[in-house]
Amino acid sequence: MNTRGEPIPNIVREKIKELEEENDVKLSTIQKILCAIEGPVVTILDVLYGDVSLFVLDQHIEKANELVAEKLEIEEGDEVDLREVILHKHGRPLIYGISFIPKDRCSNTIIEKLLKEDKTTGRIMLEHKIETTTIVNNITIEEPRAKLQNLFHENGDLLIREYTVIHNKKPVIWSKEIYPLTYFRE
Amino acid sequence: MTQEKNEANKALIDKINDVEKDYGRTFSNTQKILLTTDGSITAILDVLYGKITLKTLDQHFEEADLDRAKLVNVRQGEKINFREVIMHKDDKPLIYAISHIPLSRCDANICADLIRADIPIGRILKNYDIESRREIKNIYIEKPNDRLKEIFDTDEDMLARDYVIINCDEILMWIKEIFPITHFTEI
Repeated sequence: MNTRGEPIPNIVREKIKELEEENDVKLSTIQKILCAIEGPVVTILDVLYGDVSLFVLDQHIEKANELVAEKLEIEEGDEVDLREVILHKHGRPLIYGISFIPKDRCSNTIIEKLLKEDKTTGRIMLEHKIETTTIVNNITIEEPRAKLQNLFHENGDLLIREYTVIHNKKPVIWSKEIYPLTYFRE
Repeated sequence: MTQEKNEANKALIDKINDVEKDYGRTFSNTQKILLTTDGSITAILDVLYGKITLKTLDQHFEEADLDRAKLVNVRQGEKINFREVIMHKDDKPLIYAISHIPLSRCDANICADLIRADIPIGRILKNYDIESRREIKNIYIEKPNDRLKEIFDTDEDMLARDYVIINCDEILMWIKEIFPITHFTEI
């Protein structure tokens, strides 16, 4: 047996191509990988930088607004855990992440870990051997808000990846990872 | 606000560091990522190279010998699907992979796609919304056998890793991926 298939369709590759054409930019190899990976982004950062650290900017339970409810396929007003974090290496910010996790789809142990421990959601899923699929919904370039300008000490455009993690056929995380377009160029 | 060191992937970093130290050479970032990623490798190759294709060298069902049975945690003699593939860009081979998949853990759709061939395993899992996790078992350097020498047209050392894909708390697949040590050094 020796067969050869057709080129494999890939939505992320097509999104990257569109993004590059629309914004007249070329993403670096590492930026493309960070857009495409299906596992936790921290795995890649650990390999590139030695191990990186997590800084929790904000973490609390709140009621889902219309957008969050739609993304997580829950009812507006249902409780979600909001996490806002920065992955950094020795204080140098690498990636800002914001995620929403529906409280009713998490065990109490996981909710406790999310609220009380400063572990990435990727690490928590790893520790609990949670089986998932990841869907990259969108990759965009946007101008930064003041908050992110302050965090990154940069006012250039930001690269944003939005994705959903599915477990037991339902969304369990809706997340955005954001960093300046000038990062991960080397 | 609090702060703690993340050590989730410590073991993987250590594995890479150990191989680099033993071999006396630093690997490229792309090589390190391909060896440690716990997602689909096809997704990474795909955004780096544009359209890639899969070439199936061999695909058949066989009875697991003792070694293969251990890799996928089934009894010796159970039927497994053996697959041998190359991911390539145009005519350039990028990564060679072999996989063992216990027939008893495949549903009919997955089996059909495996037999149909030329579909990467990561894509098969995605097509059927199979929820899974990956455990990287080993990362190492090995000498190429005659088959690898012929495929990659080189006799240089190979970087390799093996890992399992777990679904419903059972090993769905054991996979080994191999590429020459000079691949992915400039991308």
